[in-house]
Amino acid sequence: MIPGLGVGIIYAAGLDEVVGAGLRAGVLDVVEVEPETLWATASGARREYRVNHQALSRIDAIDLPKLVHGVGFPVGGTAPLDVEHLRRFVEVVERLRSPWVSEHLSFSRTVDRANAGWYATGFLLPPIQSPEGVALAASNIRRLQAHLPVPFAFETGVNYLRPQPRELSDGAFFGAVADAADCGLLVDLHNLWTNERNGRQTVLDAMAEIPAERVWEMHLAGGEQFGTHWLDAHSDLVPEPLMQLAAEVIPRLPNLGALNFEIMPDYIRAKGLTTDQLVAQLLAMQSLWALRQVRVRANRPPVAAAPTNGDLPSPAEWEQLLGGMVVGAVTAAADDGLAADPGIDVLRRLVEASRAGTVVDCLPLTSRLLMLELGNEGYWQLLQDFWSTTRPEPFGVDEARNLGSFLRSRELDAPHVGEVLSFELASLAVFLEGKPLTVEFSCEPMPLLSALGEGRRPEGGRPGRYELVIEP
Amino acid sequence: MVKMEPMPQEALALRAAGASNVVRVALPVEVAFNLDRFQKVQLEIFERLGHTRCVSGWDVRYDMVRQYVVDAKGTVREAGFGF
Repeated sequence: MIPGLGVGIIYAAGLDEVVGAGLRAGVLDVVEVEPETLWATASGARREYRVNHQALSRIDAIDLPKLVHGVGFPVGGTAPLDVEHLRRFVEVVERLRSPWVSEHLSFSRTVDRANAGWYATGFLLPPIQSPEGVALAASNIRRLQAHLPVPFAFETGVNYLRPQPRELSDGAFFGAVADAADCGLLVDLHNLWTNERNGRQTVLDAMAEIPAERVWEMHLAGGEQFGTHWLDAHSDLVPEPLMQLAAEVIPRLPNLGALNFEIMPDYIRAKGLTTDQLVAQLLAMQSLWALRQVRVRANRPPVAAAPTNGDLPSPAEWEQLLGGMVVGAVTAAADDGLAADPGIDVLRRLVEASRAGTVVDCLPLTSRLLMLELGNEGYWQLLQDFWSTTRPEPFGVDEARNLGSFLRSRELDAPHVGEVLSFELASLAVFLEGKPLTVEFSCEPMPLLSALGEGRRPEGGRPGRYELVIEP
Repeated sequence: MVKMEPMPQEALALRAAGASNVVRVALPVEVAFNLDRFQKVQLEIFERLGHTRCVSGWDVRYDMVRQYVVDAKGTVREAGFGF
C-alpha cells in the first residue's frame, strides 16, 4: 500500500531556505529528490559518475520522508537501460528510503540514422501514443521494476506537439501503459493543463481515462506563455485555475500518496518571489491535500488499448524523426505534418535555452568574456555554430567539455579566452578528480578572472609568465 | 532582481612564489568556482555540472547572466530576460 506522505517540494540547493521555512511552518511533509542532478560524469572513455555525497547527506538530514524522482532514464523510448546509472539510482533510493520512485514516460535518446549511434535529444520528448508505444513502455517498466527495491510510478509528460492523427488520447495512453505495466502514476497536473492549453486533451477528459486508483503522486507547478504555447516552466506559483482543477480531481484519487510543488530556484530569484509566498503556496496545497478521501481500492481490470490505424510510425521511427528534428539532424518532408507543427520550433528553442543555460553555469567566466568581446549577438551566433555541430549532453560537465573543444577549434577575437577556458575546464577537473592542475597565463590571472567574475571587461593586466595552480 | 555579490576575501588570499621569471600562484578550487559573483555556488557546483533537471520550460539562466554583463564603457546592459 502506498503511504500517505502529504505535501512536498522538489528539492534543489537553492530551495534550502524555503524547505526550512516550510518545516518551521508545518506545511511541508515530504521532499522529493532528483538524484542525477547530484551527479557529474568523470572525464575518460569509460562512463563513470561522481556523486555529491555531501549534498546527499544534507538532504538525508532533512527530518522528512524523501521521494526519489529520476530524470535520467525515461521509460517511454527504445534506448537500453544504463546499468551503471541504474545502480547509482538504486543506491540513492535505498539511502533515502524512498517508499516509491518515479521516472518520465518520455524519451531522451535516439539513434542517429547515419551512424547508428545513440545521442541525447537535450529534452524529454513525447513517445508515439500507439499500441506499440504502450507495449514498449510497459516492457521498459517491467524490466526496470525487476531492478528496483520499491514500487514504480511513471510521470505523465508534457507534449508541445499537436495530437497526431489516429494516436491514442493522452489519458488513454497513460492508462493503458499503467495497466499493462501494473505500475503507479505520477500525474503532473500542470503538464496535463499545459497540454490542454496548447490544444491537446483537457485535464478532466485525460483524468477520466486514467485509472484513478493507480495515481500515487501529483505534481503542481506554474508556467509561462511562450508565443503560441504555454510552457511547463516551473517558473511561478500555481495558477488559480489549476488549483481549482486540483481541488476537483484530488477527491477522486483514493491512493494519492504525495502532492508535490515544483519550482526552479532560478525563477524565484528572477521574479523576486519571497519565501513567504512559497510557504503560502505550500499551505494552500495542504488545503488540497485535506480533500483527499482515502479509500483503499484495488486496481480495476486493465482496459485494452483501442486498436489504431497502422499508419502511425513505430516507436523507433518516431524517436528518430522527432529527436532528429529537434536537434536539427533531420529535416522532414514538407508534407509531413510534424514539419509544420509549431511545437517543433518551440522544442528547438527550449533545447537551445537549456544548452545556453548550462554553458553559463559551467563556464561562467568564459561565457562572460565572449559576451563582452563578441557582444551578445556574436556569442549567441557562436553557440548556434556549436549546437549545429555538437549534439546536446544531459550532464552539464559534458556540455562544457564539448564547448571547450569547439572553442579551441575556432579563431576567436577575444584576448585571453583560451587561458580563461583552460582555467575553468581545469577547475571542473580538479573538483571532480581531486588532483591539482596548473594553468598558464600570459598576464596576471587574478585581475583578469576577478573582473570577469564581476561582469566587467578585463583591462590589460600586467603581462608576464604566470602559473595558476588550482588545488583540491 | 538579481544582485551582484561582493568579491570574496579568500579569493585575494593567494600564495605567491617566485620561480625564475615565472610567477606561481595557488588557488583552492572552491574559490575558483566562487569567482563568479552572480551566483552563490559553494553548495551548487554539482548541480551546475549534473544532469538537467525535470523541467520543460524556458531556461532563464543565460538571460540572467546576459542582463548583468557590463559593457566596455561600464554600463550594465539592461537586455532583460525572457523570450
